Amino acid sequence: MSEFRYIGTKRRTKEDPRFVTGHGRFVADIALPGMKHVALVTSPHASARIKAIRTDAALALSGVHCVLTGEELCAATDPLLVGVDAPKVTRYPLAHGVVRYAGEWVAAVVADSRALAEDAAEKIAVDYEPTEYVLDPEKAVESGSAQVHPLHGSNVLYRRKFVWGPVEEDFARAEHRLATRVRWGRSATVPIETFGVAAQWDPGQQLLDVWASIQMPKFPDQTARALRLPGNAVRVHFDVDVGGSFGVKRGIKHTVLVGYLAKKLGFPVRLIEDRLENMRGGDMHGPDRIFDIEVAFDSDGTVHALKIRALDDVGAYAGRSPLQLGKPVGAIIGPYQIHSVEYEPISVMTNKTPQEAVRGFGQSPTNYALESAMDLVARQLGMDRIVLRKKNFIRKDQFPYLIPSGTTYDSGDYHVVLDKALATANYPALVAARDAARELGRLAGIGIASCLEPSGGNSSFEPLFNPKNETTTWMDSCLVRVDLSGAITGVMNTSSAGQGHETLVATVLGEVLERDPDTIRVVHADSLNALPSNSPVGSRMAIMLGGAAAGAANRIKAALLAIAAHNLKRDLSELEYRDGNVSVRGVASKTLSWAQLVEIAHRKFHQLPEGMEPGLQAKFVWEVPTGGALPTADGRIQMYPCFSFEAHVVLVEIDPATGQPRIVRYVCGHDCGVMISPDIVHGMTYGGIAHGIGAALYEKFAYSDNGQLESQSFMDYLIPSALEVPSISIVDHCTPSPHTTFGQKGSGEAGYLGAPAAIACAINDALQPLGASIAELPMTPLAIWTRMQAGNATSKEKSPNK
Amino acid sequence: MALEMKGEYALPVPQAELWRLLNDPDVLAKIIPGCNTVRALGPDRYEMGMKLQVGSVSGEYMGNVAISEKEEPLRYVLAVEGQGSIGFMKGSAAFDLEAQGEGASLLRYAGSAEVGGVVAGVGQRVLSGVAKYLAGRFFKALEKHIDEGRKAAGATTA
Repeated sequence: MSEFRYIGTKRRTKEDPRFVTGHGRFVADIALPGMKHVALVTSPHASARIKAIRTDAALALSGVHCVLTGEELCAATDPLLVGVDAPKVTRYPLAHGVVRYAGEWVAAVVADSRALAEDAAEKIAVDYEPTEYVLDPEKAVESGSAQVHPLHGSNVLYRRKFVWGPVEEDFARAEHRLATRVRWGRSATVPIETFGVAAQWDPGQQLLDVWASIQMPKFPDQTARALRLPGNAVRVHFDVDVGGSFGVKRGIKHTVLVGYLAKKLGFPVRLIEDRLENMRGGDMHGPDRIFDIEVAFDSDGTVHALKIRALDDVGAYAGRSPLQLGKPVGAIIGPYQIHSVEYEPISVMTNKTPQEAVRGFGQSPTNYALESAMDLVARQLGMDRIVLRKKNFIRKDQFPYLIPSGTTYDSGDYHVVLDKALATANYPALVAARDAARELGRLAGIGIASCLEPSGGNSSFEPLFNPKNETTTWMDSCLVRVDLSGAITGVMNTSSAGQGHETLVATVLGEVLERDPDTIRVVHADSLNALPSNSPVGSRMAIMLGGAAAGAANRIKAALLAIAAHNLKRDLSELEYRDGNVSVRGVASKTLSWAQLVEIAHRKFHQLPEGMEPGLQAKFVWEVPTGGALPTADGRIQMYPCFSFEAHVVLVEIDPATGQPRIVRYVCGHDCGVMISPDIVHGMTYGGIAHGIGAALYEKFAYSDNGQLESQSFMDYLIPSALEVPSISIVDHCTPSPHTTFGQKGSGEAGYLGAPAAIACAINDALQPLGASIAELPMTPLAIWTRMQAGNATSKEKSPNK
Repeated sequence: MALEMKGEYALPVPQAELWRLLNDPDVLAKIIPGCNTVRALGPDRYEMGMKLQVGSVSGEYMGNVAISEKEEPLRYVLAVEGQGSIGFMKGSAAFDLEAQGEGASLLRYAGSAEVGGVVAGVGQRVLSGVAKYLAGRFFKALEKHIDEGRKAAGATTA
């Protein structure tokens, strides 16, 4: 029997009823009296000087209230935050003087309706003088390149070469070396709901109210700073449901724009992006990386050392995007015992739509690169890919395991999880199916990938990548109230984007207080009522919000016990807490019920122990376990506290006529420690794998040679549909984390972190008989077909010599 | 995003007449799809307003049209440059006129255009289709104009 009553059991989530019955409350449901609507004028050029903006024709339309341009907005607001030390890379919601990518916002129109605002936006004439631009990140790093931000002096936002351990010695000693280049294409997450924000200025209270579709750390603070308002003059309502985010719902420029307009105009203003605005100018593209990897290894398969150069194209502006090269530092060797690493992250700007956080914060591309390199090692040695991985896996008995970049992995059982996945996939049968398909002249391949999911986000890449940033805490909090009726309310302090935090908090409070989670309400405080939170990023909420909820619940429980001890006149050690009632152990008649204890706490001060606060409430603010320190001079740091593990096994067939891949079998072995809500973990994992299928095979923000985004809609930006996502088997395993309240680890990025690597591995296995391979995502049917033709030609040329 | 355009069209007018039509700004205004205003800026240079619908995107362009490299009655190059609410376009096409016996001509065109802005986002496949469709409309309108001219002439003669 499980040691838990509610944790880990299959229970309905708290959020589902309102979503399933159409009672969610999204930003588009926020209807404020007198609210006006925003449409945007965007740049058609990748780079241009703005010579003039003529707004008279738009303003002449009845129902149009305002046309705002960058000239006014940039003078009245402060630049948005840059994650690295690059103060000259200024960014405002609207362009001023120059545009730096096609799709950048140039002017905003406020009108009675969105339709009218769009019509008015079409009447705004902007004179542009196109200027030199750069699209290729490899050209952008060169000194002679066109400069996206000339004042910064270079397109390079961040570059550092970290050396952790005796890399050169390990390379010199190793029996073999290989070098490879792989490329992760520009994709992202594209939630059904685009970004939206509504704002209202109350001149009487001097207070800006904000309702937004957000998932962003320190969002209220950033909004207030940019608007030159005190922090307590911005109230963000976190009870707005978010229709999908997976990292990208940052919307800071949207909010500063709408907040400014609401304050200036004196009526509520709302902006909800349409799909084109979202794709071109929503600033939500994900990593776009070129990896150059070198591996040093021996004939027996032991991998000793890595050199990784990662060039990331962040587009025209930088928010937190360069930091997406930082998170992988905390799992730079993946699940393998690799002795030394050289890592050179380079963040470079180009004239493209800016990059924003995407699920995994840069970890999935790095996993893809690392797993591709492992496959090449196996191929070069003629070694089985599974044997190679097992040879190098960190063993269960080696935890806690210190990796070269200074992070200690908490726990894991990688061999067993991979074995479980292989068993579920019936690996010998999978091999037989692949080989049978090949016998029939079809192309088929098996993919294997294993990777880590760092979780419990502590943002320690901030001080690592920016010496001026001394952030060492990334706390989260929970407030628990037991009211006079005895009902429990948990208060969380950020918004949710489908992660099921209400279920999380209710389950944890129910577990600790031994009360039915279905009776517990969980609410989202607004930012002026909230305790500190760093928002649900970095797969952190099961750990951090779960831990904070448990901490607060334990304080409630301690208060109840103290009240009982005082009233039963017994020592605490003699008391027993069960289902919220407190009894003297072994004396059933000596019991104070939950209702009685609550009554005392709320009404009977004369029965409270001396010094106890009346009422029954407790808060708990929790620092990320293992966090709290600055990096060392050589860039070693404890990144996230917990490391979940996943092992993917995939069988793919490729249509030889069209190059279209079809996933025949998909198994994911997954270990995220103790699962608080298995349904939520599995849901995240299914969604993550679907997302990974998109990144691996379909999704790409492609640019034309003149800097136009060619995949601006779902006609060209292909996301996997039900037809492309196969039935997926998930196999659970549980290695508890020693750092967390219940042994839980994070899993918000599960599936996505390993799926692209696994699918790429399968495609390359399928192409191997043709002597062909692909080292670039997405592996579209055209890309696969092209390699197949080249491969066929090569095999034919070779055949006469055989 | 670059668009390639190429094609040919048989027209029931002599080469010299076709040349005249293709150099008449009033005719061009009538047959260029979506064109609603034309103003001469100088010899062979015009300012033109156009309203276009491309897939789900519609909007107005203001632009300049210039005719160059004239080799009467064989060939000229038409360059168009415009910008508007849905983006910009910039392109040129060479028109080759070939006599086909007494009263007919063959008009060949080949060119390319670069487009940017929202209109670039409707997708390459749609844009190529739209370019073809617009070219089709251009020639259909030219044919209709010729036909109307004939009928008018016939009516006057009768």
